Amino acid sequence: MAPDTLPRRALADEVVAAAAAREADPAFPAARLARIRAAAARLAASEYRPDDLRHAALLLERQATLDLQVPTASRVPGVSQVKRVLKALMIWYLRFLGHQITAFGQATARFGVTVANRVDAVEADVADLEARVARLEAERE
Amino acid sequence: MTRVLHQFVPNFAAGDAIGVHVRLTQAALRAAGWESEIFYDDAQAAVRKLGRHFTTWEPDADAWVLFQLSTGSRMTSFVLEAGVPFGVYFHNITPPLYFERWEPGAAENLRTALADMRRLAANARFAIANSTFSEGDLIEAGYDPTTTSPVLLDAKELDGPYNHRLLQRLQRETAGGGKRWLFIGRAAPNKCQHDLIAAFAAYREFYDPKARLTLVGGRTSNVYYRSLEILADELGVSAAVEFTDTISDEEKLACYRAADVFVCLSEHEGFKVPVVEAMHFGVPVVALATSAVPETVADAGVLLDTKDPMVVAAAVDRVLTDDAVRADLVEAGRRRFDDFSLERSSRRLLDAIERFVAP
Repeated sequence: MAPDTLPRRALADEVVAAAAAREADPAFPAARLARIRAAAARLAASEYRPDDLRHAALLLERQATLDLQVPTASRVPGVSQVKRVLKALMIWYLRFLGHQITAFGQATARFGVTVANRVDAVEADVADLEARVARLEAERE
Repeated sequence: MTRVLHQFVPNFAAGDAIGVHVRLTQAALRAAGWESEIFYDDAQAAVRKLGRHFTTWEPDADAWVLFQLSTGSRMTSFVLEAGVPFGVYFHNITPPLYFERWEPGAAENLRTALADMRRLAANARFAIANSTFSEGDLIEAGYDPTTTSPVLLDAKELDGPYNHRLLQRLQRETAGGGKRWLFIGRAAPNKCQHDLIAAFAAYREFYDPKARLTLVGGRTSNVYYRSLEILADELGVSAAVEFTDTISDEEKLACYRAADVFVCLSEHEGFKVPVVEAMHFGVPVVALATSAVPETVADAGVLLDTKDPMVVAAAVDRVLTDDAVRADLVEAGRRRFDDFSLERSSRRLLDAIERFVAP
């Protein structure tokens, strides 16, 4: 094992301290950093239960909007330019179709959210009724 | 008597870590006197002739199978129904949670993969993981016995020809100043390229306004990939971030040669081959200490407990401006790469196989 001339743990701690010190400077553009942090946080993975109807409806809502900005990058020389030309020629057509599919998706998502709301309400009612039944049974005994 | 061990790999690709590992495993087995073929369900054209479709395989009496497990596949049922003795080499499976919001279908496939992993456990004679982190998953799924052996990688392939034109172009872009960040890995939510773009935006804002970021890798999720482009645009760094998509091996090697630092903020990795490859090229590594990354990097990189953009930016700045730190990391990286030399890793893999497979 080679000598560890710069202990990594200490180095990492120094880096964290350096970042904190820089942020603590009154002249530091905190708003800009906050915007960067918020933008990254929006794309983070979120916890999910397979039986979570509300989450499924929100997922549907998020996916309902079609992105028509088709990536045009290519590793093959010249193909990227061809893709860009095709995209420019087809965008009016894609927009027309895209708007309809997006509208359909949003309506479906709206339906899903409505169902989730109603299921939540029914579940609350059932819990309430179960509590009442339990209370009545206790009173009868 | 010739010993026989065939590899089953659902997707056989030319340049990815699993594809390379499969080819090198076959070479190691054959060099040690084993008879060994590769069977796949799907293969890229470049490697198709190196193996055969699994449905063409007729189990021979003394044959063993080494199942390369990383995804769900109909090969699982095939191997189980064939009734042959088999072991598993586990490359890890990404938790479905990462794909849930981006690609529900992909999340479902990963759930299938995890179910396949548990089905195989009941009959597998042994299992080898690419890291102790992955071995933990094997044990949890019921595999016994288990051991670890790193993914095989060949320095000769890394020292092979690289794309000179691309290297010149990349060097020209930073000739007027500005460091180049590099990350190699498919655009996938578990690899957290979004955090990387955020950290890079902070670095450009607060440390090096001319810095550039190269993101190499194809797309596991198109939706996530597009979100990355939008994020780069939103943060005002789209002109400095290059998404290469899938590139050739020669182009990948040029990217390593042009890089000043390799930054990995991935949340889930079974091993992370590009981190080790970067070390071979003398590129210092800054990485999030999660999953198998700490055991892969060991003392040869800066491991962070957070991927907060400001902390990552400060870490990269330290590595790139402190000559002593940089030189130390580069040296430690080269030593670490030697730990994974083909000779050493092949020996370890063969030892494991020979221990488990009856002569």
